[in-house]
Amino acid sequence: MSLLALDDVGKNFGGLVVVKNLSFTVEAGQRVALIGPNGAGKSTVFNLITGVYPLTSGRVLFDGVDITHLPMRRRIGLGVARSFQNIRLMGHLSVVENIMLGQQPKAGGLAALLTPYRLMPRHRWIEEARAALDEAGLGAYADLSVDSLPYGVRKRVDLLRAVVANPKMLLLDEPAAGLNERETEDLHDALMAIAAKGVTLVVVEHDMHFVDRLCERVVVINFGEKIAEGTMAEVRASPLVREAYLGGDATVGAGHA
Amino acid sequence: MSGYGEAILVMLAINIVVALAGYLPLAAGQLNLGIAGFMAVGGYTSAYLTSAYHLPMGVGMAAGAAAAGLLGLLVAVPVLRTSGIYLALATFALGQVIQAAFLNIEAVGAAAGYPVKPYAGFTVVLSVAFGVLVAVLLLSRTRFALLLTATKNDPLVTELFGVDVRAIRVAAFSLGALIAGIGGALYAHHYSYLEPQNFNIMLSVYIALYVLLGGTQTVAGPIVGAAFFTLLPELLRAGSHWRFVIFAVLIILVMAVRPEGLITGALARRLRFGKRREAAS
Amino acid sequence: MSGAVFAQQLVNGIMLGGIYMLIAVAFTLAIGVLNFLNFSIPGIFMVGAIATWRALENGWPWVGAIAAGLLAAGVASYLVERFTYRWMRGLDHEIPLVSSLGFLILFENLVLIGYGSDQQTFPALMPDFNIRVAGLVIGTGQLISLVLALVLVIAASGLLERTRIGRGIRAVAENADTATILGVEIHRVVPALFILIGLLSGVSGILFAMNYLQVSAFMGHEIGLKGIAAMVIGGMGNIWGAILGGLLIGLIEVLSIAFFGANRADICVYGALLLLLVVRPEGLLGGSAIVREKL
Ligand SMILES: Nc1ncnc2c1ncn2[C@@H]1O[C@H](COP(=O)(O)OP(=O)(O)OP(=O)(O)O)[C@@H](O)[C@H]1O
Ligand SMILES: [Mg+2]
Repeated sequence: MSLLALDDVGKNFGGLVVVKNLSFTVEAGQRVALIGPNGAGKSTVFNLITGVYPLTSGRVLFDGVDITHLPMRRRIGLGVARSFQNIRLMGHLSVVENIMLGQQPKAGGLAALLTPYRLMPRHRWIEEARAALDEAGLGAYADLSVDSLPYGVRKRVDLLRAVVANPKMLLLDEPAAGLNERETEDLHDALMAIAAKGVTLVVVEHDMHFVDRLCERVVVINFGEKIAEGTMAEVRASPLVREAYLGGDATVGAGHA
Repeated sequence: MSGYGEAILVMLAINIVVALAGYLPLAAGQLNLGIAGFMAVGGYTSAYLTSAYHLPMGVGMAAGAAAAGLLGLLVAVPVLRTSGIYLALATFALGQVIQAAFLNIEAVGAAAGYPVKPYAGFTVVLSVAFGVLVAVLLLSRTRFALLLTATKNDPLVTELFGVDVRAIRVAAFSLGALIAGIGGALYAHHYSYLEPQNFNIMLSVYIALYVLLGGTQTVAGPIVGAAFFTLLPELLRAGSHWRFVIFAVLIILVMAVRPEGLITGALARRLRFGKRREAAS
Repeated sequence: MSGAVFAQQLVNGIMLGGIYMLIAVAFTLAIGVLNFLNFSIPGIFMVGAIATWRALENGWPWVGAIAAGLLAAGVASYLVERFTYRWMRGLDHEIPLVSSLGFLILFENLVLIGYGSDQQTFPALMPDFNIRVAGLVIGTGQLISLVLALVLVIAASGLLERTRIGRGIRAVAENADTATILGVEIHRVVPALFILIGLLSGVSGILFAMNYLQVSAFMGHEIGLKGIAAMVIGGMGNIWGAILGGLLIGLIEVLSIAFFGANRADICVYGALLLLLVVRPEGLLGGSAIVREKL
């Protein structure tokens, strides 16, 4: 049984058809890329999987459960976490506190909610959040406001916040966008390490070189419809894909988009 | 202490309590323009129970707080379906309805006003206010406070991390209403007379404004705002209207150059961090 | 209540609605175009009336005094733009709201300092005479207000539809960023809109003073806050909704006074507002209240 299955999913915004008859599956432990030209509907697919928008038609199954109508706050408990195309950290919170939001799904009930942990400097939550930051090499930023951080660091905090939630599947919306070569390389290594722990990755990304190295399988959509699926090599060979990327231009093959 | 000093401290204490009432929902990003209404509910409930049934003042106040909190809970559920401007409007309308309602309840004197018997002196007012402050400070050290800030910052992402944002908002709003009820009860028993006109929209507006002036990211914000609002006229010794003029100009300027208010989370962090560094060296 | 009395109440309600209408339109322009709940409007309403009153006291002719009132209201509204919306565009929408409350307090207390808190008598433009139609008494002043209100509102909506600046305003209402890209000079359009809002508020303040023959620092409260209710009930951002809402609030108020007494009127008016916000926040004529969010 697949970890994630989209079954004939459709999404309209008013009269605008953004996703149409979309079906694909992701197996547990896989690293899958979801690619397509600008405006193809990739972010929308993530929004449908995480429940940000209701589906117009079709079903989404995760880990054998039909989550089509599940409220979005329940989904992280099942193991679905995501990042955003435009980083959405909490600007009023410090870096540790942002990471602590990632702990929320496993933090517990009302008693946990009302524990004055900030009066206990050695509290488990704080220690765990700091440890996670240290492990990611972000320890130095722990007590700073996120707004004061450089872009690359914010992207890493954003990723770490999702990882701390212990998801089964991570949906990453353009994780490499805006990163320099060094940072992209680090990101690649970090994602491989996450995957090695058994986390399934679904990545939306325009940097084809990055996708090629990270992902085993690629799903290509255009105008909300799936036009190809397979290994990078198979997808590259598809005339539909060449057509979609500006009439057979070599963008898909040429690495950096 | 002189009677004058005590009078100022009592006013400050009550203003801090109602500032905290406005602060809790604001910390979650909700502007409550109906605080005065909840104060009225707390004040009248306590006044009525202590006069008509001769209940002790403590019980009356607790009942007043509970009544205000319960009403908050009751209206929060439907009203918080809306957000932003709609919420501000709904709370404004609610405050108006509550004030108008007390204008019509004969049992508590309607428009003529209602004398309140048990008297809450200096010590009682300050102790209760201190208790409320400690409770809110404790709350501000919890994960609930973290989620309030997160909710205000980005409700969608907060929800995606498994938080029932609606429940958080309802809780913040109702707790704020409950505290406003305490503030109203203190007011009632200290000043010994209640009139519906005391709880008009402008009172709600002033409370919301001094909380926003102080800042809504830390508990220090509302306290600074309340202290500023209470002490400004005493410091200036100017006519009471000038106090409002200066207050209004300050609000406009602060919102323009520092919309997060005087005290921000980053400022508080820097102060704390600085202290730690000093201690280390 | 007899049929004739009831009919008379309906007429009174509609007349009162005329006053609410203008101010509701002022509110709805600020909300519809700028998403700005502009609480300074009741203050500007008062500034227009007070300035006119002062000018009359100083012996100015009516035309000059009304012009002075309108000028004061326009300037006051421009100041609000200068210190709220212009500085805070793109920030949390509650911040201009808060500043506009600051302006309300500022205007009111400056007037209190200048002229005290008493009701001041506003001279009558014409000796009071009423028109009688089919047994109904219609105050001439009120009738003129209602007609003038309708004319002004229709003119304002024509301005939005047909003039260059109006098209600019509507483009900003759709999307401020796109409008800027399309060459709308937002730094001219928005102040123009505020001046329009100020003029509408000022006119309604002056009309109110002419009808009720008194002015005071707090005269904007009751009317202004009911104007908000009217705007919301009609549907925020919709000019025709503001007209409908103004009439409805006028009717609700007059009829609830007739049926339940003066003290209950506010319960009915604001209760209706609250109920509407819960069951249909977009208002009677408004579109969807949901704001799109780009993820
Ligand atoms: N909430 C919404 N309402 C209306 N239209 C929307 C909404 N969200 C997305 N769209 C439209 O759906 C289409 C797909 O958008 P989406 O953001 O999913 O594309 P994408 O593949 O992620 O593009 P990019 O590579 O630029 O991020 C676009 O035309 C967009 O304008
Ligand atoms: Mg996208």
